[in-house]
Amino acid sequence: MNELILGIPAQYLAVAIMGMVYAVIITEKMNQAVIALVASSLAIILGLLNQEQAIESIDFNTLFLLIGMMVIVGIMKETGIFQYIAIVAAKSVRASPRGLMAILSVITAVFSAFLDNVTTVMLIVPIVLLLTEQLKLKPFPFLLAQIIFSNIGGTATLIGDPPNILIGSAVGLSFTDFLLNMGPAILFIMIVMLGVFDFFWGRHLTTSMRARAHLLRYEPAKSLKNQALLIKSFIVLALVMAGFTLGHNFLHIETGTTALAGAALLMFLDGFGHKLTEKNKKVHEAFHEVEWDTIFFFLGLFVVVASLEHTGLLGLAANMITELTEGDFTKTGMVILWVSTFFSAFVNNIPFVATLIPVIQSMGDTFGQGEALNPLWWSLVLGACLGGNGTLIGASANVMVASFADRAGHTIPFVKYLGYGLPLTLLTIVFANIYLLLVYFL
Amino acid sequence: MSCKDALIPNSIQLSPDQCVKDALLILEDNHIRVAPVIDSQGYIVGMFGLHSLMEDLLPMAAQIEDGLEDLDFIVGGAPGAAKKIRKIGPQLLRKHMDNDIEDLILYPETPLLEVIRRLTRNGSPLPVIDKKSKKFVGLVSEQSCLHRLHEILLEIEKEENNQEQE
Repeated sequence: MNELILGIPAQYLAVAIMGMVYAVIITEKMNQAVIALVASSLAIILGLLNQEQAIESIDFNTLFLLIGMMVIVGIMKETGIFQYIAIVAAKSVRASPRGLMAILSVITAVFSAFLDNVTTVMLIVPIVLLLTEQLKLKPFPFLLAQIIFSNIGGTATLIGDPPNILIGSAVGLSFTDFLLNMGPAILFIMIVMLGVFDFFWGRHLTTSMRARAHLLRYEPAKSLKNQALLIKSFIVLALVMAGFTLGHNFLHIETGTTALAGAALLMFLDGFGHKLTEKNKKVHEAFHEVEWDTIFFFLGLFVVVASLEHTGLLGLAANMITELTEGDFTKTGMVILWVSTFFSAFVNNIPFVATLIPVIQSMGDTFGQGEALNPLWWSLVLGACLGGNGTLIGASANVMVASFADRAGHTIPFVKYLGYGLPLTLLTIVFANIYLLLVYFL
Repeated sequence: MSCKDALIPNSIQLSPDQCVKDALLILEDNHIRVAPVIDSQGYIVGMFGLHSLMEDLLPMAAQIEDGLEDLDFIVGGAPGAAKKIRKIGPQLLRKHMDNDIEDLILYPETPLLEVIRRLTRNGSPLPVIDKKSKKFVGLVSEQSCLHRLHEILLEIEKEENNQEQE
């Protein structure tokens, strides 16, 4: 598409619109959902793509998956199960600070693999602050671990991090594909990082026996608020997980449909036996748990990226990358891994991943279509998700932990975080690089 | 009828530079639960009461926004809270007062019905400041409002009686 719009080449306009989105996201001058909607409206009004093309470009599977999981987790958190697990875990290590750091890191990584990272840290960080206060420990290393392990855990599954949802949905990679390919890498990286945290912080942590004894008197069962809802939630969650794996592989039901069906079932079960007004109130509260600004950010972004694609720019970018790497598959994979790491460390990785998806898809002409491109997708997943650990603004979960720390009077300065976050990120990427080379490229 | 009709002009005032322990004694001596904190220039800088103190006795994780919503599982936390009172006592009031008071502020011109609405939403008492100088002029409370409404009722009844006699 080389036509002129208002006397300006369409490609320039598309780049200017995407540039505007990035500028606003970086400077935080406007809500990201609003700028994505403004930019997508502009793309349609200027004729970079028509309304039909804009609607077609929206990946409803991604949106439904996000909405469904947000509703399920929103209802489930009312049961107190996440608090219960964290306290049981703390007691299981006899409230030893060293054990606590390790077990809370593992819990956060596992939760992040199945829940949104921001939700995970919102559930776990208050417990971390409580336990460190009770044990009279400085919360910084624990909070740092929360950030690092939430991003690491989120990398492991299709639903763990928004870039994975985007990639999985666009490319057709299933929950099982993610778990089988990213699971071993993440397990390996997690073990290494647990060792690193223990070496630098864990083994130096001390507290009094009295403080530990106080923590051991906690009664986690009292955290569980609604046992009936808890059982219903577990049933629905099991069905959803079965849908993500068996349903997707054998019945070809998309993950978005499964998540939305699960959310509908849980809302039905939650309201069962209640009066109509109470049922309606519960449904209203469940939908309130959906982060609508995130949903509309994605929606707008799909249209903006499609406008770039329609002008042929993303195809050009793909050609440039393959020329740069001289058509070498391994070099291309490594470039994607490291570029996405550095990009994700400083700006929101969602628009970056959304842009790179069609770029990598265009590389199919050089490297082969379908499964032949999978190593490049895994490079993008590892770079985009783990790269988020690089700075305090690299991922939404980091910003959320920093905000909690600030509210509790333990502000994490940007530079202080950078001093720890960047080396730890580089370490994880080195291990990711080794994994990719050994498993896919050599 | 406006806020100034229910105003308590000579209310007990606290200073941000006095210690929490002294402030608590003043509240106890005057049988009140909350008082405005006024700086040396006459501007309101916060409110301090037993509620503010209670909040400070909680673990930080329960004080912060989006923090823990229940502490049912903590057994034997009372001695820790008691020790916190000992620690907070000598500290300055400015550190423990509630300084998020923007939504509480009323003006003498605020209509009485709006004052009642605000009392039902934000609790009692509420501070009143002069719109021009922004200086503290007094408090309105549920009692002072009800007292004023009772006076109005008496006036209405008196008028109705006069009309009946005529």
